[in-house]
Amino acid sequence: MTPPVLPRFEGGRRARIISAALGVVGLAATALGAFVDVRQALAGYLFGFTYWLGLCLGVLLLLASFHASKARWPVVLRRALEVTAAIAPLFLLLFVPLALGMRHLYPWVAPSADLGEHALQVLDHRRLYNNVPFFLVRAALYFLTWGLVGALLYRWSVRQDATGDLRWTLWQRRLSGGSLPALGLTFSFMTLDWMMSLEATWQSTVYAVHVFSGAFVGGLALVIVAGAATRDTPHFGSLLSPGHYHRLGTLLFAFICFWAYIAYSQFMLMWVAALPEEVSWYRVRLEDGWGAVSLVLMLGHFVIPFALLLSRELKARPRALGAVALWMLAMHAVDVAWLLFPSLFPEAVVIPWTALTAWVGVGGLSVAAALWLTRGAYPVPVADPYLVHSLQVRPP
Amino acid sequence: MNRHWVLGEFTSSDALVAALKALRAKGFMQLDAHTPFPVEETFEALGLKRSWLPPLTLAAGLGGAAFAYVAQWFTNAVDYPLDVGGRPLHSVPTNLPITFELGVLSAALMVFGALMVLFGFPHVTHPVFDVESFRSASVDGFWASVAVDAEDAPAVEAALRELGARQVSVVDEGAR
Repeated sequence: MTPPVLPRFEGGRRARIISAALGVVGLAATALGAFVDVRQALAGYLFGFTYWLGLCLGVLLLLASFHASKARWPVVLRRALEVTAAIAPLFLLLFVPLALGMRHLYPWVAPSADLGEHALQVLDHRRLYNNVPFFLVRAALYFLTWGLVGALLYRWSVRQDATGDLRWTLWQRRLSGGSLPALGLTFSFMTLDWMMSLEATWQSTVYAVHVFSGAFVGGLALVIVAGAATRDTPHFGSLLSPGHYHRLGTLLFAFICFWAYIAYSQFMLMWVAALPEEVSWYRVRLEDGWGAVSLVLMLGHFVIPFALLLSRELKARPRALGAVALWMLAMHAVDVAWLLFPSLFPEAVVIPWTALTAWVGVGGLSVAAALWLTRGAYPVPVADPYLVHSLQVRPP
Repeated sequence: MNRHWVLGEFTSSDALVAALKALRAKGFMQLDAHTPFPVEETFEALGLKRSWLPPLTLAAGLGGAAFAYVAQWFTNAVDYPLDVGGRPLHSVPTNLPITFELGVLSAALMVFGALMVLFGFPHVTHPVFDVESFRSASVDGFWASVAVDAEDAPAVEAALRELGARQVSVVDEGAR
């Protein structure tokens, strides 16, 4: 009897074309929206952009953490993580509309007198950091870091497929461990630059951690959904065992708790202090309209998944865990919208329709790019020394 | 009446699991396994029921959290109302940290306490440890143990030998 042969990933052409087409149509619709209302279209675009970039970076951080901790059980997941993390350069291209439309989104670019004297003083004080050239230089630095780490980790892994050379494992670990501080810092400053600076004066020191925890949950959920969706195909999903789902489910559970802890800490400290420059952020989000969304987030992003993921049986079942993960991907969208839109439109509840088109557009292109990178490669790192160990993982 | 255990040593985890399944098929239900490392298959072969620990822990956690919340609400808003900086007397956000902490503490204490009870804590030893060769259970021996009445012991001994046990011993609780 010959052992079953793992095929290279040759299909996906159809899925690639469909998602690329969806991407182009979505972005074209968003561009049309810009003729109606530039600010609203850009706000919707920022939502789609940060949602998918967050997933990509969440996966990059997950991959680098696995390497840095010399984890053996996730080897079978790694190729999926690698291609997702390696599409970061696509977002450099997608960043162009934001760079062009900065002045419509960020109050510090051209502060209007309506902001009031105090806000103008604060913005003037921050001009040394928040100015257009430095903003663009920083963005370039972020993309350089993410692109380099993601591309090298993928390239070295594919090289190992061909040669089986163990030094690539060592190099991946060194690069991951060495680059994690840089990845953490670039992610953190990215959230301050592209998301928090939508506010003229408000600031929070845990904002970056809040965005990170949401994105990390999203990244984990994405891997789970991808695995559960391909479990009846000859690709990577078919190699995942209940043991992998149990471990992924446990990580998801942990970071859902982490998200809740961070979101709650920020809220409680600001609520109890009730300082005017801090609490305004929550006043917008706790009043009618966004107040209901806050409740949905609390229940949907924490209480319900927390209760479900307590069960060990559920975490080991691909379909059930896949459903929870899909729910978390939806909740992550609510979280990102909740962070962005009340800052952009504090007067009323505004969710521009371009948020949907941009979400489909950026998402379609991201999925197409990841599928394009996967073509002709093995669905798992076949020459990794720990692949066999990973394939034998069982639930505890 | 004294309890008896019949012990049989097997040379591999697979042999042990097969033997446990065969013993259960023969109708012996009070089985146990002693292995040098955890053998996952034995859980199923022993027919272990679900542990009471998770539901007990959940109940303790929820109970502790509820107690903490009620205690804070009662002391701050009902029994001794105290206005702190204009915050509401019954203020949910500031009650939650204590609620969370006491929930976690109660759950953790329940795990500790319930494990002690389920382990049979005051007993720190067991008659089977008196068998000299049983020490191989921490080295390379895979032991099956069957709790039986005195008159059934010969039948179990024969069954264990038939299943390929390297050696078989009978332990009598009152013998020492």
